[in-house]
Amino acid sequence: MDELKRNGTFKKSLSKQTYYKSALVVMALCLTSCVPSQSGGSKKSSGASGVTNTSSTVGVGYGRVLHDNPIILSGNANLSQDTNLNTLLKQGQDYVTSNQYLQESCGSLPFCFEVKKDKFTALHQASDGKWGFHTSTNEFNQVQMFTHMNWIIDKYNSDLFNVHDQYYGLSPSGLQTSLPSTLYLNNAFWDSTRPLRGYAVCDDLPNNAFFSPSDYSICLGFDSIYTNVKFVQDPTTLYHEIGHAFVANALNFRNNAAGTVSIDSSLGYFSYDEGKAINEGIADYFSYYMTGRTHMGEWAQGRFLNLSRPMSESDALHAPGLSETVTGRLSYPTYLGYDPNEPTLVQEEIHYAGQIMSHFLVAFTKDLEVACSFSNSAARSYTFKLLMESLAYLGDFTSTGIEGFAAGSVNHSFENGREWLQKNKPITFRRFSQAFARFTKSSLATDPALCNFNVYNIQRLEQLLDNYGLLLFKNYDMNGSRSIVETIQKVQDLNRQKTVLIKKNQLFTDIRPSTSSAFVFDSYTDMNEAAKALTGGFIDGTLSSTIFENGNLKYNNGNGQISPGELVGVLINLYNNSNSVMSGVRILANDWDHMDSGQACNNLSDNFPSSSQGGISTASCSTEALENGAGTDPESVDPVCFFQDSSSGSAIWVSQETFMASKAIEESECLGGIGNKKDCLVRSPKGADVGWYSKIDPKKTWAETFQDADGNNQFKASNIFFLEISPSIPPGTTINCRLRATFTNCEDCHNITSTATGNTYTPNVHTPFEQNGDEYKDYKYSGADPYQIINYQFTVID
Amino acid sequence: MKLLKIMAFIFALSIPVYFGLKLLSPPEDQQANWDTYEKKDKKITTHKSTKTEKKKSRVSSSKRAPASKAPVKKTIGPSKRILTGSLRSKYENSPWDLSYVNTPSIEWKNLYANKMLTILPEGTKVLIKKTQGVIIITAKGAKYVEHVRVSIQKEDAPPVGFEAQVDSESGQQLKVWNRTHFEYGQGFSFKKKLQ
Repeated sequence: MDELKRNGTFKKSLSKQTYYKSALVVMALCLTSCVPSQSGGSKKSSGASGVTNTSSTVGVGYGRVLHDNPIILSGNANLSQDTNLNTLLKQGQDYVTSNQYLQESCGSLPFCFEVKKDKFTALHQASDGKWGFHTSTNEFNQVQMFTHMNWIIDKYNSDLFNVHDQYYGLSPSGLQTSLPSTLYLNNAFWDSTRPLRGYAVCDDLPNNAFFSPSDYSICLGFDSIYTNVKFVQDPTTLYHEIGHAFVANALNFRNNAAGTVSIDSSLGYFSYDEGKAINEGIADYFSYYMTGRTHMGEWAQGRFLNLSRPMSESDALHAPGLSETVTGRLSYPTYLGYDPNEPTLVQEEIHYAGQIMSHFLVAFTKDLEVACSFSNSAARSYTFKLLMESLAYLGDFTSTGIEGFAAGSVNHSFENGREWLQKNKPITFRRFSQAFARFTKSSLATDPALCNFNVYNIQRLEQLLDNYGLLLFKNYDMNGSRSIVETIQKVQDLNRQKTVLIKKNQLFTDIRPSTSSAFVFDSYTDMNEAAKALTGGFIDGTLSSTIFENGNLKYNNGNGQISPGELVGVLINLYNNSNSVMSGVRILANDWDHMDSGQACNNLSDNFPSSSQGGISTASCSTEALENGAGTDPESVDPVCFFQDSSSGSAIWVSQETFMASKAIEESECLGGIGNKKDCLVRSPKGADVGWYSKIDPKKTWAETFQDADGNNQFKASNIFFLEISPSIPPGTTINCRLRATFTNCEDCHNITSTATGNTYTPNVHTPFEQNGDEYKDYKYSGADPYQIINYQFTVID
Repeated sequence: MKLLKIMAFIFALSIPVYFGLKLLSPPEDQQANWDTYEKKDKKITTHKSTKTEKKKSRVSSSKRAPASKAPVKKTIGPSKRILTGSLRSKYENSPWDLSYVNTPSIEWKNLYANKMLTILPEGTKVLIKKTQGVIIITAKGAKYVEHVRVSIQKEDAPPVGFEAQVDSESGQQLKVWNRTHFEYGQGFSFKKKLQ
């Protein structure tokens, strides 16, 4: 979706269901238009010019807005871009605000959100307290955005308050929750330091929109060709954007309530990762949460850009074969990369991948209606509750996760929380589904009162998750990473009919004849562009000044090899040897515990390097770092790359620090300058040290899976990890980077097992209650057990 | 006449008080403004961010200050730094026991901006505002860190914002988060046929 696929004509058909609903909406509008308004504004006219929406036709504090997008309101899938949208307004007035500006409070926050046209304009002031404007004006756009923000924020606050009240109100349920008790006391339900700002029409955002968590704002763009078509005219697009804000809020409930965490957590970090895909799916769900309609973005996104998205398999936009049946679901990982607008293309894109989550959430909501005799509205609210709890748990950097739990339950620890959430143990389809199921089990399936006094059998959820290929976990991980005595609450294996799990040894670098184990991108143009992109808030540190001259890379020669002084992108050519689609594949180039005192441990599954080549298997090699090198634990983590040194006569593998000494390389020559000897000569910039591949087809590599008809691949920053190569490395030096790979639908990457892993670790005395079948504790992700080791060896060539 | 004398006395007294207070206030507090750093003609210049620059970056402040209360955060020192880190509670009541691994410099912001602009393309503006001073306490010691908001304005793209932690001495960026989430595109990508 990087390149928008505009189509002059609207080739899609809306579902019958959508048409019927549209007709109902229009009928309802016709009926409501006959009902006299509650508060003033009696002058009105309709017809070709539509409803007159001016200050003379509305009461104080009132205006009129489009209640849904123009396609739905008109019932016309081919509605013209030149339509007078006043014809789609209802006669009855809508309450906007009694404030002077488009600003509103929420709960205990007097300054919760505000709307203005864009960044350059001041807040619109209602001189007469009225908000009636013609739909073609910027004033209308602001009122439209403000009113819909008000509606959805009101629903969010109301539902969230009710959930909180269940746990901390006058009759607390006594069930476990991730919602902090001080959610309201500390105003942690919102960014309490500033209002959420809505910019109704951003002139610098053609065919686009954004949520910016750093300044807590939402910006809606416009169609680049039909410039009078604005994204703000489609409330479902706004609901999607504000859905991202709600996701950010929920992820940080516990961080904000604690008041001791200075950085925010995020659902997704890379241009493609499963967290971001889930974020898009949940954002889509917020449109359904508001409208109860299983399609979003029909107007600006769908009508003119082919970017609208369904949320139910019964939508007519879908390719044949999809249906709301056990076998017809939009399942993981088959439909990662599926664009319902162009089903024949397969693209690695977060919105497409996110559809699996939105479809699951809608299906779950519908199932709740049946299981708990809920109305659709109540089922949506309950799903919202589970989303909030799952996100609050998964985003917790205090590492407690559940109210009352000790630190170390989730996201490793305060010091390593970001590293775990971003790289070592990110939110994947597996992890999110597991957390969602955990909270369903601990609430709905525990207390029948929550299910209208019906017994909610958790098998329902397991079977539904399996229909979506999401029964990727084996237990509910009720206690997270806590080291306590527990009875593991397992998933019923028989419910895993459709979800496929694959052994990790089926993933390795391509060894077929005439293939490469890796591809190196070192062209001056591409890598310069990459360097500038990475510097704009992608990487934690800064790129080394030793490889730049006058702001540009100094040594990149574009020969497809690794040379001294280059910044290179590396695509490890991973091969899926299984007969099933492998998904959520990650390759990690961040520091981990695989060395001791400057020598590589050889007690790991790669059995490398041998003792004669400098490998060791000390006691320290036999336990993983408990604190990932951050605390008082003496175990450290080390950079992935180590060097071959032949200066003593035989070739042995040594740490970068040892190699520096051997070659008399000064500390001042290090990529990170003095004090950075551990990764002095080769380093992967933090934040660019992970490669993500959404899926790899059976018996293929990622590149083969996503190759276009011309044999090209589109590479995003997330597909490759980067290496900075010191100019001080002597040409001819051989380097080994010991990478770790894992994937979401991995059979043996996530749980403790009695089967030998090939890594000879001794049980850690500090974590005595580990048992077979349980999830790996968080500290294990400093080591090798959850991963497949991939050694990438190269020789630096001048 | 008597009143005039009293007023003159008060005025004369207020001058040293004013300058005394100004001198006493820590220099770091003066960095809690938006500053613009611009790369033009291969040189990096700086100035206080103008209204237009702030508006373009969507970082202009609101007319009203939020009246709500965020969680009370324990701070120390004249610059009111927040204590954070896993060992925070151990030192909350005895911050004088901390041993620091760095020393704050008033140059951190310039150093930080220069590091970024060295790599960013010609014509780029970087707007930086300190939002909070932090002391991160770990087993390795206490580190002075600045929490900043950053907006990058490139000539041919909408502005991108993010938050970052910056070493208070070296201006080294330590962590970034909360980058602007564009719905479509805006990321680095390239097309290639693998050989």
